[in-house]
Formats: sequence, C-alpha cells, structure tokens
Amino acid sequence: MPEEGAEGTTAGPSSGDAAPRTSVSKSHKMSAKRVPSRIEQSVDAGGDDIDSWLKAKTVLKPEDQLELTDVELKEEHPRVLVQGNPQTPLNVVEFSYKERSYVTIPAPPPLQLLYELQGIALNMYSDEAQGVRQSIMEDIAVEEEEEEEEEEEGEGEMLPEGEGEEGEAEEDEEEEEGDEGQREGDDDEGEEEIQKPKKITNMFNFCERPAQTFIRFKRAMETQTLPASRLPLGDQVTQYIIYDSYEKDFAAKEEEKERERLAKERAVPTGLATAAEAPVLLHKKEKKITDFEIISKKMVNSAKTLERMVNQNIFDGVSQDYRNYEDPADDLREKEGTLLPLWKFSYEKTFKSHTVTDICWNPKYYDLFAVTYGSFEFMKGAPDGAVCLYTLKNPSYPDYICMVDYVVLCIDIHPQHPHLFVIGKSDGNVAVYNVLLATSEPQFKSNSVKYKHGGIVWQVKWAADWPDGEMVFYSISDDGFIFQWVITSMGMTESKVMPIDLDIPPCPGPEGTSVRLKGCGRTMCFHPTDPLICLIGTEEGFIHKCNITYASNYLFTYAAHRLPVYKINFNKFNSDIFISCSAGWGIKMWEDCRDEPLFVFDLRSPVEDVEWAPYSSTVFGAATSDGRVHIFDVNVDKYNPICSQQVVSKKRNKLTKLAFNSYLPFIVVGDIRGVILSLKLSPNCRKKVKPPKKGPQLTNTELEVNKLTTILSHVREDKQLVPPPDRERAEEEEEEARHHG
Amino acid sequence: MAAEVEETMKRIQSHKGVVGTIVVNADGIPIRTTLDNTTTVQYAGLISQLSEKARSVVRDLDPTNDLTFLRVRSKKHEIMVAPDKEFLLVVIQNPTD
Repeated sequence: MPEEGAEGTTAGPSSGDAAPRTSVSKSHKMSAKRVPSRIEQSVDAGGDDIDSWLKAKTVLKPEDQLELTDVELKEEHPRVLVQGNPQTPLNVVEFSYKERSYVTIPAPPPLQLLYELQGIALNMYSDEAQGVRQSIMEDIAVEEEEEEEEEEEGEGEMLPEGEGEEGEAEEDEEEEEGDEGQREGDDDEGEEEIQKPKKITNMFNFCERPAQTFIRFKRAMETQTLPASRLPLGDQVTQYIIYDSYEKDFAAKEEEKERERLAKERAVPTGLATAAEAPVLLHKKEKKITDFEIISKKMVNSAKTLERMVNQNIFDGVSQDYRNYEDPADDLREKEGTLLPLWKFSYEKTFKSHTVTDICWNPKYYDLFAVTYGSFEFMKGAPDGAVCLYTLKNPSYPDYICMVDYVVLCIDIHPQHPHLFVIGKSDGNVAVYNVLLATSEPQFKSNSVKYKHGGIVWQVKWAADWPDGEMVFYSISDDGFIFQWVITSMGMTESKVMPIDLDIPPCPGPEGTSVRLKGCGRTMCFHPTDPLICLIGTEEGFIHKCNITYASNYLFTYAAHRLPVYKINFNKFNSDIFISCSAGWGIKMWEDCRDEPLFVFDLRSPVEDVEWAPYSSTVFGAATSDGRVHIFDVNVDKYNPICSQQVVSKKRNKLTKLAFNSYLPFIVVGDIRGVILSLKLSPNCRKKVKPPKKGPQLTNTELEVNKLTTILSHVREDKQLVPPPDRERAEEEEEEARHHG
Repeated sequence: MAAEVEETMKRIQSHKGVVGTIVVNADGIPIRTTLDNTTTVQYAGLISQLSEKARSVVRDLDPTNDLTFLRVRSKKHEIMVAPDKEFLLVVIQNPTD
C-alpha cells in the first residue's frame, strides 16, 4: 500500500519513523504466534534485509510541496466524517398511476457497490471449517500432529525479531495478509492432507494437464488355423424320394390340423369332449395291434402269392393248355369233341375220405370256386365235412379252408356279396360264412335245436335282396319243407315258406287216423328272371313249379322222373326251358307248363348232375355215377352226346358234381374221393352259331336264342298240331256211301 | 411271424423244385431259411439290394406306383421275391425239375 494513500486518509504521522512501529510490532508479535509456519518462515528469513532496506530509505518530497513551519505543522485541522451521503436526493417522487398522484419513494440506501466477489475461503474457526477439519484430523496419524505442534512453537519464538520494525499501518495490513496467508496455508495444508482420503475439488491448485495418447499403428496380423474337417456327403435324390417326402410333409400337416381341431374340441368343457377322448386312447392301443396284424396279413398274402408263383412254374404246361390249347383233332372230327384234363384239386384232409358234395363258382372271380366235402352214404356216416375255396392259380392247396362238424351237402355264394356263402348240413342246419372274417366260424347259423330242418338240407339258394337290404336265402330239405332265412342286423330269422305236398290220398295211419304224406325235397332252382318262381325237385320224381309268396298250391307239377330228381337247371338264354336229371338214368329237357319233356336222354347210369353251358343255348353237360362226363349239343346231335368221356375210374370212383366256368370253356367235376378235376372243352364242344351272311346283324345272345327256338320248333310241332275235321272230305265220303247204299 | 405264414412257407418248401425259402426282416437280416448259412447271407444281401433298386426304378417312373413282386429267371433257377418295407420273402425254385 503506498504511503500517500495512508497520509491522505489518516491524520497520523505521514512520515512514520521506526519509533512508533515497535509498539505495533509487539501487538503483531502476539497475533503472529498463531500464523502458520510456512509464511512466517519466509517472512522471518527476509527480516534483516527489510531492516537494512528501511534504514537506507530517504523520504522524497515533491517539489511543489508547501514549506510549512513547525507551528503550522503542529496546527490541527480536524476533519469530520459523516455517515450520510450529501449527494443523495432526499425527496424523490414518482407519479403513481394507481393512486393518480405523486408519491414519495424511499431514498436509496447509502451504499455504493463497486465490486462484489463471493468468497470461497472458510474461516478456520467457523463451524463449517471445524467440521471439515474434524474429519481430516481423524485420519491423520498422531505423530504428524506432534510434529505440527513443534513447528508452531519454533515459529512463535522466531517471529518477534523479524517484524518489530514495521510500521503501524503495515502491521495491520500484514496482520490481514497474515490472516489470509494463514488461511491459505491452512487450506493448502488441508488440501494436501485431504487429497488421499477425500476428493474435494481443488480450488487453488488447479491446472490443465493435457496429454496426448499414442497413435495406434495399423498392423496386419495373420495366423493360420487348422483347416475345418471336411468329409464328402452325398445322397441320391430321385423323383420318388422327393415325392415321398412331400407326401410325408403333407400327412404331417394334416395330422397337425386334426390335432388342433381335436384340441379345440377338447377345450369346450362338455361331456361330449370327454367322450371323444376315450376313443382316442383306445385308438392308440389298437394301432399297435393292428400294425402287427397288418404286417402279418401282408406276409400271408405275399407268401400265398409266392406259392402261386411256384405252382405256376410247376404247372406251367397245364397253365399254357388251359389258356391256349385247342385240340387240333377237332377239325377232322365233325361232331365229336373231347375233354382235356387240366389240374386236379384236392385237400389233404378230405382226400379219399370225403366226397365232393357241391361245387359253386364265385360270381365275381371267375377262377375261384367253392367246394363242399361230405358224404352221400349217410348210413356209414362220415363224421364231418368241410368247405374249401380253390383258385385256379394254386391247385395244390385251397385258398380258404373251413372245417365243419357235419356233412356239408350244398353251398351257394351270394351273387352280390361274393364273400358270403351259405351251406346246408346233414343235421338240418344252415350256416352263413364270411370269408373276410379271420375266424372260420360261421357269421350266422341256425338254431340247432328249434329252428332247423328236420332232415338233410339238400339245397340252399340265395334270393334277391329285399328292398331294405336284408339278405334272403331259401333252403330245401327232405323233411318236406322249404325255409326262408332272412339275415337282418339282429341275426338270422327263419320262416317256413311251404310244405311240399304229395298229390296222393292220405294214407291210413295207426288207430284209424289218416296221415297226409309230404314230399321229400331234393333240389330247387329259381327262375332266372322272375325271382318269385321256383322249381322244386323231389325224391319222388316230381318237379313242382311254385310261387314263393303264394305257396298254398303249385302252379304246375311235372311228373318228371320215377326216381329222385337230382338237379334242375334253367337255360341261360331262354328262361322257359329247363333241364332235369335223375337217379333214373335220364336227363329231360322241359318247357314251361308243358307236360311232356322236349328231349329225353338215357345215359344208362344215374345222372348225378346236369348243367347248361353258359356260352351256348343248346349245350349242356352231365356227370354220371359211372365216372363219365357227357356233353350234349342238341343243335349238333339230338340223340347222343357229342362227347362222352371217362374221366375217373369206373370201378372205384364216381362223379358227383359238375360245374361250368362262366368265363372260360372248361368244367370242374367232383368225385367221391374228394378230388376236383378240371377239364377243358375242345372247340367242337363249344361251337358257336355263325351269324347269317344276309340280314340284320344280331348279337351273340340273340343268335343263341334263335338257335334254341329253331331246334325246339322241330321237336314240338307235331304234338301241337291236331288236324281239323275235313268237312269236304266228309261230305264226299257220305255221298259215296249213299251211292254204294 | 404268424403261424399261417410259417405254414405257407413250409408248404412252399415242399413243392416240386423248390430249392429254398428265405425270410428277411426289415433290417436285412435273414430270420428263417432252409438254405445253408453262407448262401442265405449271400442271397439276403444281394436280393435286398436288387429289390431296393427295382423299387426305385418302378417308383421313379411313377411315384404313385410301387413294386409288389420280383421274379428273376435264370438258366438254373427262378428267384421269386416278395419285397415289402418290413420284410422280404425269397423263394428259389428250379422250374425245370
């Protein structure tokens, strides 16, 4: 601080000497004791120099300074300092719009703000600083505190010498400076001490310290790893594999949809949903079983096919003949035909022990036929029977076998449902079998106690289904009744359709009663076009034409044979013509409602079976007990068979049944040794009518019908013609008589 | 294997000219045979390859079609194969016997 300033403001000694300063320095000494060590050290260090500099000082006087005398100098000029500001306006008014008048506003305070600085230093004795200090002090070790105290003491001793010569004003200022320095020092010290434990922003020792980091150089680094293991992966993808995977994908999607649908249904909490769950579980269980079944079924089918292949190889020659061989000798013979033996069918369990009792071709599969085994010698009693289905593709073994507890005498395969067949047994029962079922048990059977025939069931025949789909069949037995059997969903029910009455007066019975005798039914045959009309052949040799729905009396009765009628068969082309055979060696051809037969053939042996050929209206075949097969073609020969061939031994064997194949020109015949023989008809046996060269084109059926009609017209004409009475001739005769007379 | 299959295979074996029958399972392992071990293994291995190839021929021509049977006629034998996904039935027959 310059001395002039001090002189101007204070009336104190302007040219201050050393004398008054000492007193001040004493007071300063007292305060200096509290001054922190560092500042005082520096002050003390320069104490001597300052004294020397002060001694050498000369007071310079400005040139224009007044020269005053001592008196003048001693004269006192009092100067009064007042508080108020003389320049302050006293009565400032302002117009207030609110009050609409001038109002006095208070005078501004006597304060002039020249410079304002917010202090950042703390008074070391204030509570705030104490708090900070306290926290610092706690962290400082005890030793450091002791050192501080020693230093303070040392400083206290040194202070008084250095500062004693300074002036009063300077002392004050220095005191202030010392205070400030002290505070600075305090803070500095505090800073150093705090730095570690507590991070307080450094207000005083702040400096900017920029630093540049290293520039990272780009460097190319390369390493080589082990190559990834490679292996060639290949698969063949063909069209069908792609197709299959698509199919699988599609199936999976479908399944998912189905599952979602089920899940939705299940989400609906109803009784229905739980009911739907149960079958799902059941379905899963069943699936495992069916999988195994499906495989084993497939295996059985494959094995059967393989067996057929093996048989095809074995019977290769026969198979070729069966299809292709045409006897060339027929061209040389005009009328005669031959039979070519093909396969022999037999089943080991019925071979020799059983008789073939019936043969029936399957209506759907032309190469499949059913055979029943049993016996006609009921007194000897073959205990059991069997049903076998044979296919031409496997002559060595039946395709289907069903052993039956009684002798089976007849069979019929349902024309619309070729898997169903009905059999008639010697104990009077009938049974319906289903080939599709795994078991060999009958699907339906008659009640063996109450509802059955009282005698041998000689023939069973399917009739047309009822309008509501129920299947119906009829059976005829030697107990004198025809039964009707209806298969409903509940089972099989029977009803007696009609008794077979004998047209003879009642016989006298015991004790004067009269017994009306019944005929023994032996065979029946339905009309091919009218399903209600049926022909019944009896043991007595009659053939009755009757209507199934009105059974009270016969429509017609033919006194056909003198011995049992074995078979009746309608012509395949003309339903008015039928043929019958009998044990009485004869075959007779009949026309509807005509007493007399059209043709009579005597074969000199019981005729076991007779059947019209499916391919011609004039050809029929017959099997006789002496082991011969006869083929007739009335178009070729009206009196003798065109072929009569011994097919089994006359002495040891007998033929029992004969059946034409509906598709190919061959027949099968059964014998009493349980063997079925297939025979191919030579071309002469199946001559076809040549279509006329002129005239309209006719179908084969029409030609066949015409052929039969022509033949029949030759046979029946003279019977019909009764010559009318010739009147002219009679008159002439009368006249002659007169003349003579 | 169902009894019926076994019965049929036995019957096939009894037929004229049949040299042997082999039943191969889905894994290509022969489970029934009437031939000796070496021949059986050889037949089973080769025939299953052949039938697989034959199937791929049939199915490649028409994916909806499938192979059902395979017959190989040779100078000495006829090999009849019933190929299926789950099994393979093989019958070897000498048709000229």
